[in-house]
Formats: sequence, structure tokens, C-alpha cells
Amino acid sequence: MQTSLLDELSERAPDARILTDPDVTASHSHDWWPRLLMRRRAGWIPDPPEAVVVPATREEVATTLEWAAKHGVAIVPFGAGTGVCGGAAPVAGAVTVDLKRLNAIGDLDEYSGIIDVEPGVFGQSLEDHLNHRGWTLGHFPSSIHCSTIGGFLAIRSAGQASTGYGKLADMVVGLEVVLPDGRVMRTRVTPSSASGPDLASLFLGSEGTTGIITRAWLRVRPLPEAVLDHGYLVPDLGTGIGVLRDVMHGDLHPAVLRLYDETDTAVVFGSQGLEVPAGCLVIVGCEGSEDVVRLTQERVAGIVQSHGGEDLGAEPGRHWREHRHSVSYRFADYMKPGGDFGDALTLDTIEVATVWSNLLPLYTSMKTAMSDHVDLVLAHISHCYPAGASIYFTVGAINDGDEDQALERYDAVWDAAMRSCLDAGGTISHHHGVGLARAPYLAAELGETGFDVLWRLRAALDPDGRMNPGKLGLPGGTRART
Amino acid sequence: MPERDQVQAARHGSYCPKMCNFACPVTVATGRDDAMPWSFHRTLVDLVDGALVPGRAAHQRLSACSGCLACQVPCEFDQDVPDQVRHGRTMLAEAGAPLPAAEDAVAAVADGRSPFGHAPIPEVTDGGAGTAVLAGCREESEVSEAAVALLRAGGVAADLVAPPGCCGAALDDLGAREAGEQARERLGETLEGYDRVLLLDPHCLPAAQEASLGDVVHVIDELVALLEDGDLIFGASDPEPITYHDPCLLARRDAVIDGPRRLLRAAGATLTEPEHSGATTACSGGGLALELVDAAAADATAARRRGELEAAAAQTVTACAGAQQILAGEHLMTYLLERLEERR
Repeated sequence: MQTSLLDELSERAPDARILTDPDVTASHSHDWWPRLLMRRRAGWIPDPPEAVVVPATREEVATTLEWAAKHGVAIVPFGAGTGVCGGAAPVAGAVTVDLKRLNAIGDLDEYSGIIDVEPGVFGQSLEDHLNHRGWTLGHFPSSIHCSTIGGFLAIRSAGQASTGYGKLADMVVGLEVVLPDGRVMRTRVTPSSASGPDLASLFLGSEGTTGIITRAWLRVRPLPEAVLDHGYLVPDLGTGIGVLRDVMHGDLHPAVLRLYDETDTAVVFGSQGLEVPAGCLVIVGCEGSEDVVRLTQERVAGIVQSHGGEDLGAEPGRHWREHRHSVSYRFADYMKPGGDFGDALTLDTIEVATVWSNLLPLYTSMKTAMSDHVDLVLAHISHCYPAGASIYFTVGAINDGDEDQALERYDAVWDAAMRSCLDAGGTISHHHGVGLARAPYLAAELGETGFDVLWRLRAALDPDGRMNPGKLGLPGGTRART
Repeated sequence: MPERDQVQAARHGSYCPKMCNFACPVTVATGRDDAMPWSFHRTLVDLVDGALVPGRAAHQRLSACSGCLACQVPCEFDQDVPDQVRHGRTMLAEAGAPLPAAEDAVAAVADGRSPFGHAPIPEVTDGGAGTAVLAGCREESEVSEAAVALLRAGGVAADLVAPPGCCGAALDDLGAREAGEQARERLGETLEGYDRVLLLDPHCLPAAQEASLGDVVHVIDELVALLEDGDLIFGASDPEPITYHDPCLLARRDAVIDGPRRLLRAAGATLTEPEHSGATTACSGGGLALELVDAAAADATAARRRGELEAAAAQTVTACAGAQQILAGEHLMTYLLERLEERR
């Protein structure tokens, strides 16, 4: 990139940090897409971005995008770099815009239950801030300790208590976005609206392809008076799906509702040194006022019993809550060279979703397809809705130090997962987003017309295709799709 | 931690999905990618692997850590990021590219000043006392004298020892290992003849433990013991709202959390806790020589913490000279020992 271009940006946004030394920008050279980590582990040194711009204000973001539009510079938005699909991976010739300095938490409107927050705030920092004041966002993804609010919004993230609190996008009551040409759009802060299409939805899940989110107004709730976690055992996955479906249709609103398949159940019990039971584990977490929590738990217990399930008491729920982020903290134990499963482990998670009636068929067809390529496929069902739920697969393969094989199996299992999901009628992502990992498959899910709509929407806002090119499967440049 | 283990730990951390981001006060305050603990893991690995050449970029990548150990609280691997930063800075020095701040600090110490530029404070000797109160290199004489007065009121005869230069901790923080070792040797000579060493500055603990042949404890622990034994009594006074800022190392490394609060309550304070306190206290930005290496990061970290303390709407007290000085400003920040002595 020409130095004169960056000098011009520096003059126009003097307080923005502009980093160009490749030894310094190296930390932006990949996000947390396991494929990139596996390649790094194999000795590949990822190219850092051409430059990293670190604005501190919305105005500096706007100036940066206006400058980029003027000079045809591609832009890659970047939060904490913890996305798992390559959405923040650098693009050749592009400038990465790091948003972590936009890290202010605004006033808490306690009467309406709304907090406004900038995109660079870490999820747990916001939750701590709210908890200190007696409130909660209710968004608890396993990445809450490391990821930013902007990143969550950009991929339509879901937390572990989304069954009760909803996905983060459901909590948005107002949004401010800098458009690709540098103009600023702010939606009215309102609980709901019928004033035409919801413009905020053009940016939630857009992964930065339509603009950069610079502020969000999120609805929050008072901290729950009581939290009650419980565990059950059901005979098999199909029965467990019936339990979850009946709970969701029973006018009950637990915050957490999780069902582990037989393999995942074995891992949960085995890792604690406990005898592995036959069947599938169900975890139910209720949050709210004492009386509602008690009643919900009783009603759920009744549903489990009617399906022939067994009450395991509070311990499985307590253990889950205490260790709910542990798998993320242990990721390095598995992924690093010489990890717990030796060198060159293939490892990733793949989350999809579908309606209740299709949940078991989707699970079965995906597990069958993926099992051809890896040693281990396990899954749990969570993030439940009245109409269906998400399936969260974990896949792993031991490769005894053969990194080429690790990558081949990685690509094969992803391709098998995506194709079988599409064939079985599921959506290929529930809450990790698309990035580069799912980019080749999004058009198949949306259909030719649907993807054309997406392409045209993006083109209307970003005719040159400069915003995060390649992500979502959207090409850079002005080339029309054929 | 042995050198090889530090590198192994850093290599492990370079594959961790940055889980401690939220805990790092410098990352949260500055929004800087190079302040993330994960970035320090990567930097050390890059240095060891030869992917990062010792020089300016390496200096920058090893600058924005305050050594507060906040990242260790949630970590299931028990990472010691500050130690990895020290190790990286030492590697740079040994490669002939020391941090510029390290060279300045070594020169200051050779000149009889602290690495932070402070002149030594007057010592107070009691003639034959077996206990030394060791003043840190950022200590002010009023604080040190208050400590000696409180101890004497409790029946403990103690000398105030204020050696010029540095105990070695700040020099180690900057990667000046050889100068640090020399400083510890000098400290050992200074502390010869004392059975016990009572620390004022939490940062001096490792150096004092290495240099002293006797027991080393925080002066707060000693005062709490005197309070429990009924030897330290505070006069009656009107209740006063106080917010106590937990110094990072005192709270997280040494678990001295309840003691300062007990002393303050005994002295008539009603305590108001800030958003972050105890083992999850937020950092002042005053550790690992951050103010010398990266003043902007130190200022941003301090400003964020100052905001939290001001939101608590009470007089603020702390027990670390560095924290007191960096957090001071328009907001009144008092040293715990001075406040206690006022209330005695």
C-alpha cells in the first residue's frame, strides 16, 4: 500500500492509530478459525494485513471508510480476532480496522432496561458492568471472556442461556452503523417497530460486508433472583428431543436447555471420572424469581418423567455451570503442537439448526456423513425455540503428526457437514456465522434468488465490494453475479 | 518458573483463544491488540523461534503489560504473563537491544535514584531493632513514617530502611537482569542483622525474600496481627465512607484482601466496594514498570480505574505507593497507612 495513502488518512484522522510494521500487525494475521490455526501449527506464517487502523471514535471509523471508498481500499473489520469461521482473517490488499478502542459503555437506562455500548467492549466486561448495577444482558456464549459485542452482533451470536434470553440480535433495540461510504446511519431506539423493514437486520450477521457497527442499544434484564440448575437422563436422543420440544411447547421458559447425545454424555460423565450411564444427559437451567423458577423446574421434571427419564438431581447442572467455559480454556491443550491427543489434531465445532420435526433426521444424516472423515463426532442440542433447536457438533481426528492429513480431514469433514446439512434442510450456521468457512455453501442455502438478493443489497451499500471481501461468499469488486 | 517452562507456557498460550481478554485491565482500557495476554505469548514464542528480530517492534510488543496478574485469575493453565514479558525483555537485553527504559533505569540506579527517578527517603533507626520496615523505591517519607509510628504504637520496635536505587524488582521488570541481581546483593547487605522484614511496597516481595535471611511479611499483615492481639487501638471517630483500592499483587498474588478492610473498619471506615475489587481488582497501571515503558498505556489504565473508584463516591485509600501516585490526580487518593495513623 502506498505510504502517501496512509499519510492522508493519518492527516484526516490524526488520533487513529495506524500500524504498518508487519512485526506489529502480525497479531491481526489470523482469527480463531481452527483451519488457520492448524495451518499455523504446521509452520505456515500467515501474512499480516497491509495496515491496521485503530480508530477510537465513530467519526474516525467514518473518516476511515470514506477514505477507503475514495481510494478503493478494501476493509476488514476486526474485534478481538476470536471468530471461528475466518470472518476477520486479513484479505490481500485490505486494511484491517480494529475496533477495540471503541470500548465505551454508555448510561444504563434502568427505567427502560437499556444499555448502550460500543463494539469493542468485551462480553464479560459488559456483563460485569451490568451485574455491579443489578442487571444482566443474558448473553453468555462460551467466548464471552474473549470476544467483543461488535463481533457477537456481526455474526448473530447466541449465548448458552439463549433459550431464555434470546440471541443477542433479539436484544438489539437500536443500532448505529458507519456505511461503506462513511455516512452514519442510526436506527431509532425502540422496543419494536413496523415502520417498514428492519434496517438493523441488514447489518446484524452481515460480518462487516454492509458496514461497521459503532454502537448498539441492548435491552437488559434485572439479575435473576434465583438460579436453579438440574440434570436428567433420558433413554435416547429421540426421546430427549421430545422432552425439549414439549418443554418449549409447554409455555415454560428455562434459560438453559441442553441435550447431549450418547457420545457427548459419555464424555461429560467420563471426564469427571464418573460411571457412564446408558442414555442422554439433559441439563435444565431456570433463572428468574424464586416461585417461577421452582414451578418451571417442577413442570420440566414432570415432562421428563412422562418421557421415561430419570432425575439426576442438581449436581449435573451445578457441574455444567461451573465448567461451562472450560472447554474454551482447554482448547490449547488439544490444538497446540504436542497436545493431549498428539501432534496434528483435527478439531472444530459445527453448529446448525432446524425445526423439531427435522432435528433427529438432520442429526443422523450429518453424523453419518461426518463420521466417514474423522474419528470422533459428538453433539449436543441447545438454543431451543418454540419451532426447533440448534445442534452443536464437535469433530476430532488424531493424525499422529501428519499435518497434511489433518487438513485434508478437516476440509473433508466440513464439506460433508455442510452438504449433508443442506440436503437435510437445515441452516448451515446457528451462531458462529459464515466467514470463510461456510462461504462456499451460503448460496446453496439461500438459493440462487436469495443469494442474488443478498448480493444486490450489499452492492447497493458497497458497489465496489470493498467491505470484508470474500466473507459470506460475497466477491470483491463490482463483478455481477452470473 | 524456569526459563524453558516459560517458553513452553507461552507456546501453549499462543494457541489459547484469548480467554483472559476481559480480565486484562490494560487491554480493556487501551483496546490495544498488543496488550492482550495472548499477544505476549505469541511475542515470546516469536522471539524464541527467531520470527521476531530484537528491536523496536519487539520493544513495542512487550510494552503494554502492567504485571497485575489479572489474566491469571480465570486462567486454567495458571499462566504467568508478567514473567513471560520479563523473560522477553531480558532476551532483548541479552541480544543487545534492551528497552530504552531499561537503560535509563540502570543509569538512574547507578546515580542513587530509583528506576522511577525518586531520591531515597530518610531512614529512621531505633537502635537495636530486629525488625526492618523496607521502604519501596516509590515510597514517600510520610507514609513510611506512619508505618513506623503505627508499629511502635503496637509495641513493635522497627527501623525504617530505605536503600537508594532499587531492590531489583523494577530492574527485573525491565529486563535488566544483571543490574537486578546486583541490586538484590546490595539489599541483602542492607538487611543484614534484621530478623524480620516488613514490606511497604508489594512489588518488593520477591527481591526481599531472596535478599533477606529473615522472615518477610507485608506490614499490613503485621498490623492486622497487632489489631487482633489488642495491641493496636484506634480512637473513636465518626464513620467515614472509604473505598479501598486493592493493589494488584497484594490482592491477587499474596491474597491480602481482608486485612486492609479490617484495619479500615477498626479505624472507623464504612467500606464501599468499587466495580472491581479483591482478587478481581482493576489495575492502576503502576506495575511492571509500565509507566516507564508505555506511559500512554499506563495513563489509560489509570484513567479507567480512576473512573471506577470515583463512581464509588467515597474517599479512596490504597496500600501501594505506585498505585497511589498513578491514581492520584484531581481525585484524592490516600495511602492506607497514613489514613490509619491519622485515626489512631
